[in-house]
Amino acid sequence: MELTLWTYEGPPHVGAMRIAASMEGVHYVLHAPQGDTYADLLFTMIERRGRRPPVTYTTFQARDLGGDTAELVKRSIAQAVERFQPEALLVGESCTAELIQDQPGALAMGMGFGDLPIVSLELPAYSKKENWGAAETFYQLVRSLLKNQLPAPGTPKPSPLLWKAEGRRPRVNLLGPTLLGFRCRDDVREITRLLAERGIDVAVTAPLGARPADLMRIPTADANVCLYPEVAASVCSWLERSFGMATIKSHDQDGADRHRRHRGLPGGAGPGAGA
Amino acid sequence: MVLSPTTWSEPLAQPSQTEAAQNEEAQSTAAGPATGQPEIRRENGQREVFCGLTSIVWLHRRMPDAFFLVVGSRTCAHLIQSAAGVMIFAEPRFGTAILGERDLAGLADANEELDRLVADLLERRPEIRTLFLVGSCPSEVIKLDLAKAAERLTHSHRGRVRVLNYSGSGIETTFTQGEDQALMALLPLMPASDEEQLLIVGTLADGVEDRFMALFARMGLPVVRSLPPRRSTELPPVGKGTRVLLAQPFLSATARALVHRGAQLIEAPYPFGVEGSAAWMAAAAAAFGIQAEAVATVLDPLVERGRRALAPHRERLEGKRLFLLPDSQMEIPLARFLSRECGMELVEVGVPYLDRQLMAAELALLPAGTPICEGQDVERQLERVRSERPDLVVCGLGLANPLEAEGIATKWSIELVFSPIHGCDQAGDLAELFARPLHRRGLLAFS
Repeated sequence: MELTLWTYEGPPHVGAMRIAASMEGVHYVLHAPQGDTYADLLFTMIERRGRRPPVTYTTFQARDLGGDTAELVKRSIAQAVERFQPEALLVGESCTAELIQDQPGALAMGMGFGDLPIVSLELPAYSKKENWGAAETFYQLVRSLLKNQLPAPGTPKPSPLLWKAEGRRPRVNLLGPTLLGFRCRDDVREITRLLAERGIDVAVTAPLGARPADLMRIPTADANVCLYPEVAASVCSWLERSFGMATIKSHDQDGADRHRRHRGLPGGAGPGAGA
Repeated sequence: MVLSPTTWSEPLAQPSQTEAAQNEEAQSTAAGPATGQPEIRRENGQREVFCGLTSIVWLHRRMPDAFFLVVGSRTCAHLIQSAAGVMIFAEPRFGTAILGERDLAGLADANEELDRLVADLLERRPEIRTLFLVGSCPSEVIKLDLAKAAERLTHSHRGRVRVLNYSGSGIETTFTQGEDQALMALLPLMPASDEEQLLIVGTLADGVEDRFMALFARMGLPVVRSLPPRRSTELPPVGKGTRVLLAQPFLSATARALVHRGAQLIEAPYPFGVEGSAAWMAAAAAAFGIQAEAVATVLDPLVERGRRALAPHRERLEGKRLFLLPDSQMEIPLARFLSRECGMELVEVGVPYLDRQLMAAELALLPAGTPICEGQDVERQLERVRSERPDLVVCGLGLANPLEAEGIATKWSIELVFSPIHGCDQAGDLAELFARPLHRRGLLAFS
């Protein structure tokens, strides 16, 4: 037990909310007691979004605990899917629901939603925090959406010069920007512009502003820029292992230049530096 | 001129009427538009309201010698911090004992941990006189016995600190019901006494409380005390001579518990607006047999001033359509005030929970057929908001900006819990809180 007067990070399910709210077409059903809806105001007041975060809460109370909370979960999931028609569904629990073990993810999987990608989130609320929750959610979502694209074992890694062979500009993904991050929108704009100056396109920026279909285009890029490791490190590491995609994460200019030269990408310490 | 209480319960002005309605009204016995039975429906779905822990934010300000220790999860800590909404530089008078995996594994550990934590806290903060252990959803689900912990800790810190316990969990309490539970925790410590006293129950801003005290003194009421007090160690007594006057409409358990200890509950509307505040004070005076003339001498000028302060805001609010989403249980008295004294039309009044006994006087004053919705299914209710297109929606912070983005004017309901809005003197300010969003829209509208 820890006495806490102030905390920088909320619970892990708030991290999951940040991923869902940063994206388009993703809905999150959260099994949680009444009162956990306070998290909505983080997005409507601090982030000042004109929309509520895409979360449906079961908001159970004492009288519900006497009955069938699993039914409550299923009802909430069914109503949310029907009302919001998401392209991907996240299902999880907040700290209290974790204790009553209704397994909402498993319940969702058994409800016969056909092709709807469903990600069952397990975010240990009594040991993990917000950023971990965001990273884990992003990782599980990307893994779930890309599992059908996984190259067969033994497939050689793509060549770093593939872009040249294909006669196109190199392109990278910007991974990690979220709502309730720090200056994410500004950073994305700035980095995109800097890359463009060096002849590099951005394929996918995620999760901020991305749809599930955009996540499925991630492997079409040549490398991933891990813009915020606290959110995107797990995803980048998995993409490296599974698709052979390099991760660009160094702040060190020389290191970045060396890396770019190794990858055969244009750009260097200054304008005009050739490949 | 002596104004009788019934004069104060008349609405300030008649809405425009057809001749038939005018005839009908001429024949009715009581003055004013038809009041009576509202239409009450129930909804059960996602509830977009705070849990009872949130009430700590104003309770800790009311009692500066108390500390509120939530025993819960990181969610609880995050909530309190987000609801308090301020960077906490100096050490605040609330915090959370965050449960970890170890605590969940074996309850013996959790109690030892709690004792260690409390000892640590009390050593760092020697000015604390009362420590509230506040139960949360997780502490209740794991059945952590905080009542027993409070007893144990009171014993081990005897002479220095009293340790009490109540539940602020969202499972058990909705928002302002947290205060109800906190007062229930104080109740057993209130000494028994048959002394005649008026007991004002419910947290009021210090300035508002002082004002009421002064007015009651001028009317000649003998003894007036408050619950919660400003000093947690100086609790008022309770017994046969106590007349309970509820300042807030959400204290269901506390009101009944006080009656159980021999007190009598004064039935009156709540002190919002001129009409409600005057009736509230008059009812208190009547309970002590104070002569109507003495009461009128004090109240008439207040009523006069209050009505004048209201007038400009009433102009802006008159005829505008109002939708209140459920939040604090203050919705019904506020709707009554906005309808009767400001001329607003009530589209729907949402309440998280309806205590018919404590709301009786208010329900009787609402326009007949006022749609009241008890409970909530937020998506369905928002659909009604969109189809009704009211002029103003009173709602929580999670919903306000999204509704504004849809072109609907909103008023943050939480402001009503933190602003001084009780009493005749505040009636103008209370009306202004609702007029302000409409005024702003008017200023921003480009022709």
